[in-house]
Amino acid sequence: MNCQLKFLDENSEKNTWFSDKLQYSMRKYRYYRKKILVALRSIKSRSASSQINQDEINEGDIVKVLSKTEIKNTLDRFGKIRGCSFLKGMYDDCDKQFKIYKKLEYFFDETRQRMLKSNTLYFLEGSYCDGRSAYLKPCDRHCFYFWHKNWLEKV
Amino acid sequence: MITKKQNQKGKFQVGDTVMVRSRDDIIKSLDPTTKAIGDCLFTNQMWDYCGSKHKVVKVVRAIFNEHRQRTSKPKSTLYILDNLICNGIVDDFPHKCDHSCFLLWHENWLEEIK
Repeated sequence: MNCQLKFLDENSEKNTWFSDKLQYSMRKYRYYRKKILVALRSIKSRSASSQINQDEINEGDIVKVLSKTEIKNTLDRFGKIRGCSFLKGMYDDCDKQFKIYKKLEYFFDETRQRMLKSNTLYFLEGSYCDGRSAYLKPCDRHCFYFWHKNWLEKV
Repeated sequence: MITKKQNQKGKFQVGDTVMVRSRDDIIKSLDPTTKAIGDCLFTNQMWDYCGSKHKVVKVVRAIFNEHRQRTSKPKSTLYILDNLICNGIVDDFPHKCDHSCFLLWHENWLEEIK
């Protein structure tokens, strides 16, 4: 094995029974809260825009992140666009300019434990996750946020 | 954001400049079978950074495990260094991974520059 995260996943310290239960309850709470919110919003039945931005965006290009309202219009009722979630922390980067760090082709999806292929996702230089979405403690992994092509505008 | 309480623990703090120890020092610290210290693996690409100086960007005290959907604590304090990102070449993967994770460094692999 040559992947630190896979190794960490298999060898990390086990949580206490209480910590595990608490995190499980928090996950369930978030899940049902989301379901209720989705049910309430379903009256409007928002769906993600099916059109993909046709601009060619490459590594090193300068892009501008769309505004909050523009991004909200692209999301479905689950807050996603074609499976790519828009996290709360990402709102801080709206209306700002960034340099494209990388265009994703293949990446290891930890949740599904397999490689996924993509041609609409990007990493932006300086746009990192603050870990606030994790349960109990903030996550310190300092990952890049995944940005969908439809949320970016070439400058 | 690192709080005062968090900053008190750990050998290094955010903003410190550290040097990655030499190859020999690192080999001595590793488990010969797993090539790791506890739960932190030393990958092949990390040899290239031996002897180089970097800034500590983050002290890792909790990691969210996406597979198990829970936050867990690493066995020892780990560090993320400035611009040291995984190149994605992993033997188990059929393609080069573009996830660009920051490499995790154990404190035994680093030394402070005075």
